[in-house]
Amino acid sequence: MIVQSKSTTSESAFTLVEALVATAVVGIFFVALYTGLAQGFGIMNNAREDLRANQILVDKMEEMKLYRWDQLTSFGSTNSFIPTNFTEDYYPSGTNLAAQTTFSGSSSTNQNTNGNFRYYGTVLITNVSFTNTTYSTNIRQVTISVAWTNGAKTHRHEMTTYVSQYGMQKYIY
Amino acid sequence: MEMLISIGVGSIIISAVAMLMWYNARSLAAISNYAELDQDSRYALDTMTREIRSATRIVTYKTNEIVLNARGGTNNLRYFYNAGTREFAQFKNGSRTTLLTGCDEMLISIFGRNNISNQFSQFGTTNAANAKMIRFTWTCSRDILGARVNTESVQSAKIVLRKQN
Repeated sequence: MIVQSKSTTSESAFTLVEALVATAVVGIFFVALYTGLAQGFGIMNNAREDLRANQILVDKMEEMKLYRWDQLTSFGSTNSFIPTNFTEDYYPSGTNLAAQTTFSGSSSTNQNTNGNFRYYGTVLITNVSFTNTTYSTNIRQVTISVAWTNGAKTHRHEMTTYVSQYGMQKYIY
Repeated sequence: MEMLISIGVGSIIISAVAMLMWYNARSLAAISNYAELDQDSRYALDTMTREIRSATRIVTYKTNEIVLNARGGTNNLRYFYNAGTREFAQFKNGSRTTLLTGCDEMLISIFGRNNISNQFSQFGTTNAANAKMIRFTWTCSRDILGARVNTESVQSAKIVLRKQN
């Protein structure tokens, strides 16, 4: 007489619960990985925006070299030669990219009519804080800042320098 | 039946992993491109700024080419953008240096010494003899894994000539 034994154990397969848990773990892994990559792109876009903001600040500081002393000191008066505010776009005017409709990668809430990412700048020219020198009245402090909004976050960069009436040679020996 | 489900689930997972790896590779390539483009742009700007600050005057000007007198020489500093090869180069005393590659656009503008009232900008000029400031604006890009996508770097810089005779 031959007796056939029939196995009733469940060793050869995974249960539904095991499969679900494994799927959940893998899902969490993928979501975390994707989030990390997306955040990496966000950081990179912030770096690009920062870089362009610095370019704008350096550009404006360079332009300050062309102003005469009387134009500089007229700042804030009714016949002020230097404006207190300015705007600059991410893609500079005159270039082909200036006409493109969106700034790649960034969701900006401040855009020009083309959708080009826009920076808002302010200029401040004041007397210098130090007054214990004979030449302090011949020097002005220039502060230029740019601000921009990406999503809900506002960013701001600022650059400050001194401008002297007769150049450095007259004051520093 | 179990085998079919296993194959289906396995295929989905393998596809997801493959897509993630592709996305990851593109991301890394893009980040590398941005870093390289920014580095190249800074090098080009530093080089140009150093040379142009020592220039005494602009001799000839086009939107893609500018020739200056620098360091006591005559016609000895030239910048030229070749749209065909997408290269921007400096020629100094006959020696050529490639400053930018993969340059999609380069726009050179010159301005006079007078600022426009209440506008924070200068009067543009086409007469090289009247120019006191030069603006370079360029965009460069790189391919990502063989495809041209949006990996571009934009740079704009104004340089004032210190001396003019």
